[in-house]
Amino acid sequence: MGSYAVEAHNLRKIFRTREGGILFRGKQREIVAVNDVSFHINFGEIFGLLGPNGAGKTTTIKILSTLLLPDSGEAWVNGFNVVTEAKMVRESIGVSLYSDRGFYWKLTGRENLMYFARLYHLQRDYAEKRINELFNMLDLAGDANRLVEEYSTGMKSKLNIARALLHDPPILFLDEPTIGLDPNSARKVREVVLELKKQGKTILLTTHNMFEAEYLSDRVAIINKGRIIAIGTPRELKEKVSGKRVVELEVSGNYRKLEAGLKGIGGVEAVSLQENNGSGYTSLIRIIYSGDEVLDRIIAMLANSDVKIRSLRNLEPTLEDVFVYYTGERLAEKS
Amino acid sequence: MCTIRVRDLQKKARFPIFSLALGILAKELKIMSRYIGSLLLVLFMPFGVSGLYLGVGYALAGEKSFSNFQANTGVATPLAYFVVGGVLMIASMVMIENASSIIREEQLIGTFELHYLTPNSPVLTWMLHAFAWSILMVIVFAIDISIVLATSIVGYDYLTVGMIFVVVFIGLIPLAGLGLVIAALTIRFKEVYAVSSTINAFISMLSGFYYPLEIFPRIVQAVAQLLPTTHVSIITKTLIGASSGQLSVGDRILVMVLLAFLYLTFGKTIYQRWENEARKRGELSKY
Repeated sequence: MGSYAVEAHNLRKIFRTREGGILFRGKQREIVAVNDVSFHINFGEIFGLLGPNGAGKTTTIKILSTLLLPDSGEAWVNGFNVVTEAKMVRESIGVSLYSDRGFYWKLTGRENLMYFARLYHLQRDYAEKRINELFNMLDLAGDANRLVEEYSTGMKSKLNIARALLHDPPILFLDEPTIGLDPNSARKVREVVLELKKQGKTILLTTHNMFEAEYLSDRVAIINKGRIIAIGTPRELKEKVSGKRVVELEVSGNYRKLEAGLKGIGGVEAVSLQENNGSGYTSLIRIIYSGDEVLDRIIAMLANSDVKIRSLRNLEPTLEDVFVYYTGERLAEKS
Repeated sequence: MCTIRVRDLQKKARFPIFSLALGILAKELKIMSRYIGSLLLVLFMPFGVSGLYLGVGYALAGEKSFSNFQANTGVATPLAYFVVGGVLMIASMVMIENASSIIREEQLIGTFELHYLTPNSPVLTWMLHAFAWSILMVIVFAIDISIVLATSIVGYDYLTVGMIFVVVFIGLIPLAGLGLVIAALTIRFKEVYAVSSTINAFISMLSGFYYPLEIFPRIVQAVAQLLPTTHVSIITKTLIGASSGQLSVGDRILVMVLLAFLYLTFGKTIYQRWENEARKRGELSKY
């Protein structure tokens, strides 16, 4: 093992939790967080792990970064086993786990990075040079000496990436690096990720943002309920729904009782629903189908119900449709 | 095996443990200096508590309180006795809570598990935090004891004062072992103060910070000998002439070193056991 930057074989992790109870803890429940997950990442590749919240993305990253022991299965990072060679794995990786946590608020950005540089045993001169380099790369040079408690979410997210890069590791794990960021900050973070790829870094990126996964990743694994359900380049994944048509209908009224009927129409391959805008008045129905007359039958069914069609759009298949195709659920809805 | 090593490994410090220790010390000093109120509280608390005890003594025995105290305990300088005891009590409380409260705080701000991503032993990392705090506590002690000595009628030489600092430092280190045990419980149960306050209450009661241990039955005195703080308390007070002990200072230092070894080994074993469990259960990430 070890010909890939990251290699995971049949990883499985179950969390045991207890529900209810006041003085005494309640009934034990098992949550399968990661179930038989296998994949590999080539050196120099950006690999996206795309899935909704609770799909198992962070658990996978935590196993690969040695924070969590798998119940079964094996994994190697930079050729080192994540359980038996944990120290070497930690030397090989940089990890960004949160976008806005993980700092000492009463220290400046520079002091925070210097502390972590010490934890990575970097020489002081080299650490100072490296910190300046990273602040420049991430457009944080002007704020380096401000206390972190004064940083915006976007600045903290960039500082998180800077910390992950301090010891110049060949492999980076970025867990939802743009979550909660405004569009400009998110764009800057994506630019940085692409720049790091140019520098030869291998990047494992988790996201529930399909645009981000498609834009950044050389290959994507779609993960849901702890299982990887599809893996390939964005193009390869979309080809799985090529030849199929996608329509998005905005409707009002009680759609839920029609859901089974729509799924029963011949040619309809997947149906998903997203409650729209939180208003409760309209819903977005995304339907993947094949065949010329299927859309007519869909519209006829809706027209004969108390559901009103507000708008209808034909769409090009996206990774969202790959997710819908495999799970029957919308990624956006679940996230 | 195909691996790409970290590019700048050659830029690593020659002595990693010093790099780690310096980083932790600098961080804790900076953070403490930015919460100056806490520092001042630790600095002045011993005087406040000593004043309280003197007041209670005066209320009970009036003008005879000092002479009664001397007759019952053999101690001629109650103020020095109380302040030294107070400093030791505050320092021991801080040390016992240190590892666990730092871990709890780091859990809350999200830096805790980041330490597990660095190539350091977590036990060593938390021990060095305790080490940094013991240095800070010695500094606090130095300030407080200087005030006491400056206002005392008894003369002291620099060697005695230096020895006191060394004794306090050695005496605080084993408490980090107890701190690690509480830290282990913190990782699992997230409740620092319930455990640490209970332990602190026992240590405060049995260490003789404010009274000689001879007031207790022999069995309690024997148990008290297992606490490093008991020995620190006796040595310090003996050195400033506020008390006299049965064992020699050298013997007591030897006992303290032995206790340090035992406490730290115990703390390390318990912590590593819980840590391993936490890595299985995913507790490292919970807060």
